[in-house]
Amino acid sequence: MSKKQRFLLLSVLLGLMIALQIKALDSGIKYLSIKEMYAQSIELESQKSELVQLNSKVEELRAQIEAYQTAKDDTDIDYEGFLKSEIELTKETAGLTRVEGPGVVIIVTDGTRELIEDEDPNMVLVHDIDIRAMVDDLRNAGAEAIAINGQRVVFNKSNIQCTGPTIKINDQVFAPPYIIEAVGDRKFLESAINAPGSFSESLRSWGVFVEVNTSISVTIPAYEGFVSYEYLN
Amino acid sequence: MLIAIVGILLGILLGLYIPFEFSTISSLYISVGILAAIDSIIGALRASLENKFDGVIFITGFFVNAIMAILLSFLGDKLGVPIYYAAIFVFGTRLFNNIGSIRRYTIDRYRGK
Repeated sequence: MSKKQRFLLLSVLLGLMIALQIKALDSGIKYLSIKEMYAQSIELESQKSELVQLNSKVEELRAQIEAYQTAKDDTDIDYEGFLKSEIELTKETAGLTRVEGPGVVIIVTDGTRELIEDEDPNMVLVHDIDIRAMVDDLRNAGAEAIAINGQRVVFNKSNIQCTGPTIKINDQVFAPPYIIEAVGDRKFLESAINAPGSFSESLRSWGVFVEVNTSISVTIPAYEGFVSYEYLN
Repeated sequence: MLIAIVGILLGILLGLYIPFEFSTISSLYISVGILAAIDSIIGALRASLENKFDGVIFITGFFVNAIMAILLSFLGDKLGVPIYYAAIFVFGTRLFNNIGSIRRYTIDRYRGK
């Protein structure tokens, strides 16, 4: 073999390797670790469910447009009834009506355990922040309506505020025990309070008394306060 | 010089059309091997310009360097030591040295004429 032939042969070999490497890196297939794959699949699932939700929303809005259209075109339909049902729905969404449904009743009250020496008694007392965190837990678990001691908790108007040994809810002052009622999926709501890692779990470990009972029918009263806005245009 | 370029282009064409692929996992090792091979080719070019070319040294250098670079990178990965940095550093340095020499020889030759 002459010098040139050897040279050519090995150059061809080098070119071959380079080409194969280029192909391997460009093939569009990416290797993922199991962990990454899991994260990706969760992402995919959530995107899919979001898509389904958005699609159903589109359907809903279309149906609504249709309803408005027929109401406009058809003289037989009574506008009054249509608008009234709309108002009813809006009121229900805003928490201005009394609602009823399956749900849970939660009793929260100050702990009665003996304090350890030098321990802050605040540990076993119920605070506004505890109630607020529990309400958030319930909302996350899908609660559709929540009331505390008969006071409806609505999104934009209810306040849960510390007033010394008592808590002010919707501008009314309550002392313990606090009874939180919520309408929603009973199992979800119950586990939102009982699950390890939930806020109530920590409350219990500090010594606060928390009890959950499911109920076939919970009645949540309407929001009684004023809804009036000063700054919204 | 021309032969090397022609050979590499030929090899690339061949490689793009044969139905074989490295897996992505091994591509790091292959890339170190490619670096070693490039180093050998450039080294051989320089040697032939200096009239010191030895076919046996060239061919054994090509394969042994590439295979050792791949094996050491693999071993380094298993041991958690990134040995392929060493391979990249050594071959890279030699590559540029050789390219520099080739350039100087070529320029000298043109000036000599």
